[in-house]
Amino acid sequence: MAIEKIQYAFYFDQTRCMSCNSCTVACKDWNQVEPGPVAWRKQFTYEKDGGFFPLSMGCNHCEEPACKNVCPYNAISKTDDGIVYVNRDLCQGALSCITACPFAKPQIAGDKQEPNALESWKVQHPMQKCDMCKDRLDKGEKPACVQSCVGRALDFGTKDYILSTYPGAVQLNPSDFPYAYVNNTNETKPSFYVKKKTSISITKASSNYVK
Amino acid sequence: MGMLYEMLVNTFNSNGEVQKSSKALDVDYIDTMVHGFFASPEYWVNTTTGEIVKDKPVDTANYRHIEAVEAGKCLASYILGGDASLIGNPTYNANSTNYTAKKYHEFVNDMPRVGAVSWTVTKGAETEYQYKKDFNVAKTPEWAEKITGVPASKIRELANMYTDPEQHPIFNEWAGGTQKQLNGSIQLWAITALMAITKTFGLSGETFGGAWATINSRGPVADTDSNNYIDFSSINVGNAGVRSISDKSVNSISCKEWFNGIKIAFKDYLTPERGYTGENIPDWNMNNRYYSNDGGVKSLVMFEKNPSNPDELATEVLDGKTYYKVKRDENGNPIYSGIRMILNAGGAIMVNQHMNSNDLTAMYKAIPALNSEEGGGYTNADSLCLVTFDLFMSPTARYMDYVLPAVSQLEAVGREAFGGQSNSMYRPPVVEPLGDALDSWTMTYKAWVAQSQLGEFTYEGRTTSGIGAAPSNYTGNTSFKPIRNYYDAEVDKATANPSSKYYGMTRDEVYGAQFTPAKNNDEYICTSYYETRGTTTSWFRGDSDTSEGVRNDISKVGQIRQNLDNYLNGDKTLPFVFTTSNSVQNYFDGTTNQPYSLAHDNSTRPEMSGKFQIYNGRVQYDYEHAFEMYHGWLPAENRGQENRDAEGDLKVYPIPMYFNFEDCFKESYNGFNNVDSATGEAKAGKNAAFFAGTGKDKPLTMSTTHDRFRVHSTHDENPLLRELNHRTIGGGWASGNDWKEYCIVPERQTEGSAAAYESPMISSAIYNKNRETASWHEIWINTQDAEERGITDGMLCRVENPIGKVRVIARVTDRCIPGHLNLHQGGWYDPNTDGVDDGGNANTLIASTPSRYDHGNAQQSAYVIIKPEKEFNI
Ligand code: SF4
Ligand code: SF4
Repeated sequence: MAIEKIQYAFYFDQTRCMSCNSCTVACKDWNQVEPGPVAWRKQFTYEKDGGFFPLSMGCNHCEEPACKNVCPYNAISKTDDGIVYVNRDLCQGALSCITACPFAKPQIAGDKQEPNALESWKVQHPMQKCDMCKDRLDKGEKPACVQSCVGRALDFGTKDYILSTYPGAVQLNPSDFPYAYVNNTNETKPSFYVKKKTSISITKASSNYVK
Repeated sequence: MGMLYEMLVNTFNSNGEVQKSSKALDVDYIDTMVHGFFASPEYWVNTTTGEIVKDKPVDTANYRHIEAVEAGKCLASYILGGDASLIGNPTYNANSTNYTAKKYHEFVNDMPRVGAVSWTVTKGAETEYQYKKDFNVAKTPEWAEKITGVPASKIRELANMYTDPEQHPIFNEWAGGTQKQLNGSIQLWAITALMAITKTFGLSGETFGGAWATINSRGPVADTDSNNYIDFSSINVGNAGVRSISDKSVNSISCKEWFNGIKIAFKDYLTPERGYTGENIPDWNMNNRYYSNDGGVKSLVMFEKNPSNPDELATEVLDGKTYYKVKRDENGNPIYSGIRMILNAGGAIMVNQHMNSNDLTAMYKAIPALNSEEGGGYTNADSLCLVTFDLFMSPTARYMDYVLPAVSQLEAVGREAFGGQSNSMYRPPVVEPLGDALDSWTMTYKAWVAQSQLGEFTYEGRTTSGIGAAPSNYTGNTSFKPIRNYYDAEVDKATANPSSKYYGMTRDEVYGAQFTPAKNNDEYICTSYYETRGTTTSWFRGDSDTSEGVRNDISKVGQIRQNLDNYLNGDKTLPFVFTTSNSVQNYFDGTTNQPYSLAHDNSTRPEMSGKFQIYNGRVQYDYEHAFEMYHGWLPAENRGQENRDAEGDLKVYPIPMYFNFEDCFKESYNGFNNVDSATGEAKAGKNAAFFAGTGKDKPLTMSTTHDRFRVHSTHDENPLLRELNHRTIGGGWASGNDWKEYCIVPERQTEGSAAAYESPMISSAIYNKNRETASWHEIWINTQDAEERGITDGMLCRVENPIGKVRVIARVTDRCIPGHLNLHQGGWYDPNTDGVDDGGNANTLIASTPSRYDHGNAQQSAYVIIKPEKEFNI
């Protein structure tokens, strides 16, 4: 019997996020990523056309992962759950994934953030990124970021679950979310569905304001 | 104010006749229920019937005297800039349609509702205060737009919303914190005045909200079915039976003036020779023992006790008035008690989380410390003893004499009640406390044991009853039990009770599932019990104690509103009886509600009208007389609280006004002209130049917002949270990566420590100028302001004012309004050798000046210059 493949996906409600970064911190904590610039998930609030738009995003476990396709060492694979997984033991530091990913989600730590290399690694700092908290999923728990989200802005599940639960959500795309595409706009079919914030939240101060 | 202007001009036509429209105020309602928006004559009110009479009744037993509100001193006059013709010079006259207005007309024929502004401005057009120059300026939406940046059209839109009955209920809430602005209590007064004038109260979903939806506004209506929650009310620590003897010969004052209490006690040590110059309090006349004219601080001398009753103070008559009798030393000087010891049970108040950290630390350094050689040890009351509970060795702990271990949130027992709920929940500790840290239950138990061993003790003729006072939950128990056992016992009852919703659960399941449910989710809005809970009691219940005001008895608000609506729909020829006493208004004035207002006699203290008090003479009276009875040691003119500003005009008015922020900062930063008392000549204040800056040198207002990434100052040292709001120079998000060099002070100070960093600062990365890891706190600045000052995102900046200097990294964003900066409070104070605080502690920039009406902490307001940092090369 063929194993039925599924695709796990993240959901994010841009109207609910309060930019608290609990997701960022919970991710670092659970996955033992030490303090420092590398963070598998980051929340940031982008300003655009007088409005502001929060986005909490890690690796999007794309259906057509650009990172995987360019890795010369086959360090990146896609599991039957749709998780795009990096085997850090296989990474040899080609760095091609880093530029291929539209969202710059594959990351390399510095010595300070990652002082002790594992013996099984081939390089001092192999690429690292979100693995959807595989270990938690195995226990039937949601990823740490989703579980910790104070604003109930994040959700997680199969693509079918996400699409049926949040029919208004749109798949991450460069025209709605240009600020997410920091590297390029390659089409990778991200497993990331967002409820868009459309209202402009900043009322520009009056120009009659006396300075 | 701009909104009220819009309402006023829509309410009267050019002949001063009342108009009815959705944009107009309900004048019959205002006459009936609001005191001081318009002028009113002096009168006497019958406290049972509500009838008012002009002349003092022969028998005043059932009457209360209500002061007149002058036509030029009512709020409407202030709003119109005194120009009554803007609304057609309205009067109370023969056409008036309600009881109150008819009576006023009867007392004073065709009495004007509004007159030319009559507040005294001694210096006239020469005044330096902008707010006084604005007395005769109409407070139009355009006037407000220039101050706030909120477009006038938006202000009009809001005004029209508040007057339109169709738009009600309107939910009004204020965030806790407003009261900590320089004039915060006045802003709250103004906001509640807006509510009162626009009849914004008493409907379901509409109220005068308090902070955090707690008791004074209504959060969810608690479910009263005890099967739905577990009643933990019987479990409490209280004072655990520990008894003390309070010493009546010293007074106690508002905790907010503690720093001033230290000054009055130790002023003799605060000298330049000992390193204290007072430079961080530019407006302090150091010839005074204390800073600012605070009645409480002035009461901190010792008093003689009444020989026949140790619970009372002796009195003496000076200048024909009675004062508490001051105890004097052999030279006849008063003995300054002040504050000599502080036991700080929580928070980083004494350095980091109180205004003017530079002044506080300079003060501590100059005064002999208890444990110093000079301090002389524990028997010496002439040394300062500071004790704090601290978990993280915060900057506050670094300046204390004793640091005691505290439990963290995860180790603490939590017994909490939430928004409007009376039922408490229990939060068990997640982990057991480490080391000597004790939860409060165990700590009070140990204190009780200690006192039991001491037995009764006696002090100045008064005796405790120490050992007999076991706390009730210990009584009958042969041995101490951890508090958890008491909660477990209640939980076990519930899990065994088939009608409880917790039936059959395990204890852990109960602790995980407990909450005090709202009755139904539809009521998850601010509610005022209009339909459900109104009770009728007689009008003017009790005496004039303002704590009995409507606001504190919210269950009656809905009933008042219902009665009022009935009344206003009727013929209105009889007085309105509105079920309860006093004013919703005055709670925020900060003085009418405080018990320390001790004048020699209160016979001239203005009475509360029973209506919403927009004009409140009691505010002014209480301000002027606060702690007066304790001031016998001072020259007559210095007793009570002086209600005079630098120009001899009022500081505290009986109506809410807008005090321009420049005025307030000029007062506390010494920016006004000073008149030399000898020559009478006016000279520019020491820091006048600060205010004269234009363009890139123009000061900006700054507020101290709460960060999302820590709790006040707690966790500013936590690397995972710290990196969220710290950045290296030019670094982007989370570039602050100093965690291996930050806060290693205790380790380095350990003998034989191999710590690699040498630094007198908490941030050795900054001290050692390690550009790669040195990180600073962000400050938020608007794009326009940044551009004007040559500041770009990620740039290291210096923020300074006459109080202090900090270095921070600019976050350039349109989410901060122009003209304003946001610096999250709680950055750890970390002064560098050049005197600039590299910890980005907002309090380094906050003046010691108390807020105007209530003498509270004004920690949310500063006026600062921001510029790219040029002098610190890294
Ligand atoms: S988001 Fe980037 S790293 Fe993640 S799967 Fe897609 S291409 Fe790869
Ligand atoms: S935890 Fe939730 S609310 Fe907070 S930043 Fe992340 S997504 Fe936004």
